[in-house]
Amino acid sequence: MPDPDSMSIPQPAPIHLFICKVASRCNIDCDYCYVYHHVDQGWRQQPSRMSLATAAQLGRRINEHAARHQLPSIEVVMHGGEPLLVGPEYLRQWCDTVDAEVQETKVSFAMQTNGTLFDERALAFCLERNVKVGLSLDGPRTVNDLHRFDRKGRSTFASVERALFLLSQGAGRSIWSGFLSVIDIRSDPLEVYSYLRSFNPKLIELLLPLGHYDLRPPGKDSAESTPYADWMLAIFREWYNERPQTTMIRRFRDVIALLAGATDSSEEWGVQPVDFAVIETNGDIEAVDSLKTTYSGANHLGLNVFRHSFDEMLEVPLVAARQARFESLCETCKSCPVVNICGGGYLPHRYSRNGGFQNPSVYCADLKKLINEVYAVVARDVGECLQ
Amino acid sequence: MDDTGTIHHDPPNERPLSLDLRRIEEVVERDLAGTALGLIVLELRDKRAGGNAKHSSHSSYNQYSTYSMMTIGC
Repeated sequence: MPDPDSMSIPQPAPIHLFICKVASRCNIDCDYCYVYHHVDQGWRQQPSRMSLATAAQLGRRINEHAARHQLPSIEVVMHGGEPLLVGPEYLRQWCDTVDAEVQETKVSFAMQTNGTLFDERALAFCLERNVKVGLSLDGPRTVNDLHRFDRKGRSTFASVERALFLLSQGAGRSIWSGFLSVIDIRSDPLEVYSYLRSFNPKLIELLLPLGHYDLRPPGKDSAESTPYADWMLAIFREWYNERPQTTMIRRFRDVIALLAGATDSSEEWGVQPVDFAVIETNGDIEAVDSLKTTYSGANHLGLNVFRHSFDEMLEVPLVAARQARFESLCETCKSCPVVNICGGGYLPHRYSRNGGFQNPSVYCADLKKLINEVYAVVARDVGECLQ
Repeated sequence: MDDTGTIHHDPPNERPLSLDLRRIEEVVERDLAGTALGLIVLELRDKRAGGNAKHSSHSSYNQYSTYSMMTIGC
């Protein structure tokens, strides 16, 4: 990571999103999980749930940050582990506790769940508090069952599908935000898309498996191979040509929006500052938790809501580098024609033991192919000259 | 990366890619309403009013935040 003192940071971007580990444990055992199945095992030292005292202190820190930066609204996400392990009644108390401490901004709550514990009580809580719910599901049963097992190695599909019916029909639709789906290139992309699309989600986020130069992504046999681009492009062609289209696929949206000059996107794309913090159950403030796949402690900042503010987080070198995002990239990325779109790739995907994060993404060839083909299709449609 | 563990990078030297949003908006209004491109234009117009920075990818929380493990945002 470059010396942050040498970077030009006009003004740190304030934190808008607080990803809160309300539970540090999970009731299922997905084999690719970055919390439990990678090098960092920090979860073992964490309390199983965030106490209400910690929630109150978190609320005070959020309030302090929002007041200082005059933020009109912020988002608080209940995350894990599996947040519903603590039960909807505790989550209600947790939200009330955070909310009671925040007077300087408007708080919106959200939750990311594996769905296996999402029942009518959970739905009632989310409706009552207008908690937006993201559901993790990789596709139909055959695809889900490649990775997402319970602790006895059994399929979790039936229980997740029950949650899906609650969220995709009736009142549940008003709080359901969409799917979070990890790509497995052994699956048929159109089968996955067709299944997810059949529930008419507002949004699908297709995630690349977490990997880097020392943990080669599955099926990525060489740096030049593009199996992930090929998989995603099959869905892109289908999605792009459907009419009417009511489902956003964020990965494609981000590419097109950034090509058209937008300044917002997922942290996996673009060169704008990253604007979120992760808070562990004991109150530790951390960098993006998927860094747990790189080396032990990679996401640890040495901060805690009981001793530090979120503004202090912005001064930590790792966070400063993600704020001054372009300046922190390797020279190869800085001079690449698609750097404003891919942003050098997702931070964990750039890692190697020898070079740290000073590499293009391990998915570089996939990202380039995806971007170039999406660009070509849209440019053709809008009659722009292809470069 | 080759078998020795050395990471090789392509030397880039092409022009940056970009699209003209105004041109996209014109084409969407004329021919592509209701398509994926139309959906993106609508969203960008909404955002232009509010403004926003970056998202995350590991949750399906708000489509307007940077964290990438999430998908929320209705």
